Amino acid sequence: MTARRRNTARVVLSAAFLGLAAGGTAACDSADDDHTFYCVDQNDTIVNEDDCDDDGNGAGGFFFWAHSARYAKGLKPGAKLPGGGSKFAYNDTAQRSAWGLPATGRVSNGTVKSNVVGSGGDGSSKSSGG
Amino acid sequence: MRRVAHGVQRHGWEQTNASLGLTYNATPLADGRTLSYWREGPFYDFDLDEILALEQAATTLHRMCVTAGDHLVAGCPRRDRAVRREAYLSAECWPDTCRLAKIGIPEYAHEQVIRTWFDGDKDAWTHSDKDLFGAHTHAPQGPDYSPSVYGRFDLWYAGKGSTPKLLEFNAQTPTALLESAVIQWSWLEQTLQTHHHERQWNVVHERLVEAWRRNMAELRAARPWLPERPKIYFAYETSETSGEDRMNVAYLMETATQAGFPTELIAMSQIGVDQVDGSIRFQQGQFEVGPQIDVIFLLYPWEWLWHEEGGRPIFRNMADPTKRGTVWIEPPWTAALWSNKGLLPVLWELFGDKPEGELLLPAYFAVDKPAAMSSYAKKPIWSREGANVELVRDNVPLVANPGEYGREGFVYQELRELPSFPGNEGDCHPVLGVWMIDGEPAGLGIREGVGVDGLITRNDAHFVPHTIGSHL
Repeated sequence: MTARRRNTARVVLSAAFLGLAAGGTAACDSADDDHTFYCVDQNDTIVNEDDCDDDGNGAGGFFFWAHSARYAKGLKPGAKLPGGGSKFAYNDTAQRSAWGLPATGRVSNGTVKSNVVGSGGDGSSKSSGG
Repeated sequence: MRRVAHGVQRHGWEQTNASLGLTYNATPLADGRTLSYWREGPFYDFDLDEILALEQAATTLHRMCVTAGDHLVAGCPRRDRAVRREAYLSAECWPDTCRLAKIGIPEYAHEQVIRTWFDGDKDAWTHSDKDLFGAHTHAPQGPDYSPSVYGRFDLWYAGKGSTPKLLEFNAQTPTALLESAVIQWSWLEQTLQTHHHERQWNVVHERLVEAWRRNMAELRAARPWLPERPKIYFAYETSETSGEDRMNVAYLMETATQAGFPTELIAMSQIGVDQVDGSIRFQQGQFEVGPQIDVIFLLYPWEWLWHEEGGRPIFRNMADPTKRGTVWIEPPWTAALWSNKGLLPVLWELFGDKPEGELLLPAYFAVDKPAAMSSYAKKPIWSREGANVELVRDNVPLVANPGEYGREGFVYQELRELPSFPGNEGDCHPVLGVWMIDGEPAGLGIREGVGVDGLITRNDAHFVPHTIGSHL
């Protein structure tokens, strides 16, 4: 081991890294601009997504798609959303298309659940390193 | 080893450092002041002999830690295939029957701790160890491989004539990597305060690039269906707002990119679990199924993750006998076996009476603490940045650091106060961080605290660069 060099020849960093150092956005930060959608009732309480498809088999009543970049992900039916979001009628095809949802029918929420790890369980800003 | 108090101060050093990634230099204090994390001016200087002694100590300590890992794994009932098969749904690991349970690791994680520890050894953990019920006997798999790239020993050392002592091993999520590998190297090149041919102990950058190449080649040999250059995701917790986690991860990612691998920086919250097949995916939007993550580095403690919602599904995915599960770097064994203070009493138990025990301080779990031990550091088994550490000298508390850790218990390590060097603001107390890259010592990063509080290296400790054979 003593025959191996004990210091580096040179450290060259790529433009991508230096761009990050200069305050560029990390790829993942853009996700903060993505809106999170929930199917809600008139009281902004999250309901089952089946109520927001337009097949007429909903639980009855009128429902909305509430969306905001500020909504936490992974909330479950029964939770009440905080103020500050926007919403449109569940069957407003123009709005649905504008936000990248299928114009009609069930909005598949995908099968992948994210936001299941991270933030140390308490959401505070503490270093994960040491 | 000496502290040079009045070295060169570079004009515009803060901007220079920031342009290389040290964007988190200004550390806000509780009283409203701001502290410079980087020390510009002072530095530590070593003789080459001292560096060689540290290098030798780190090599020996690493070997001892491997022995300790084997010992810990052997002390878990789930090491035994028959137990895993019979006790598929019942609990076998209790604090008095299992060394992993004793330090608070949930039992569901034990099997993968053991598996990832043995990966790469073709005899220790075979296909039948994974395929407990013989569901995949038609397609037996060879041994798997779990890449491990880096870690950092924190050592007490007072220079020639003293023996380095292990304070702890941060084998899972060590930071100060960027400062060590890049910032202090550019400081050295710009300030030219040594003419010695070795200049600085710092081969971290090149070794990291080599480590990615070697580890990923081993992984591909074990999982030949992976693309020649598998994409490596790098995840960090975006709620950490100082930028320290982000830039440390971004730098590590940079070394993987330089090793030739496609990479992507993602947030912890973007790691998703597919409810259909249990696969782990990179999830950007709410309404899509993102790409499967084959390999991921995460700067996030396993001891938090395995208590979170995603913990069980992630470990279930890891256990896939066909080896199609996501590969996690650093692997869970780094947290369970090395990167917690429970390692310290285990090392002492194994090596306290042996010659290499000179690199250790006597350490005990709370129940084994000798009554005569009156000067000690009381450390929580799981803790970060010196939180909940308390130093006691002759039964009198010397200094204590508050925090939220300690639920899983404490260890007691004989007190060895850090060496003192005079500085402008008071006595400076350095801890030497020796970087282990791919299992070999590769460089040094020093952090120093100031005054009595600085005897515990906390998040307000400064990073101080070093030289070999300075003429100043």
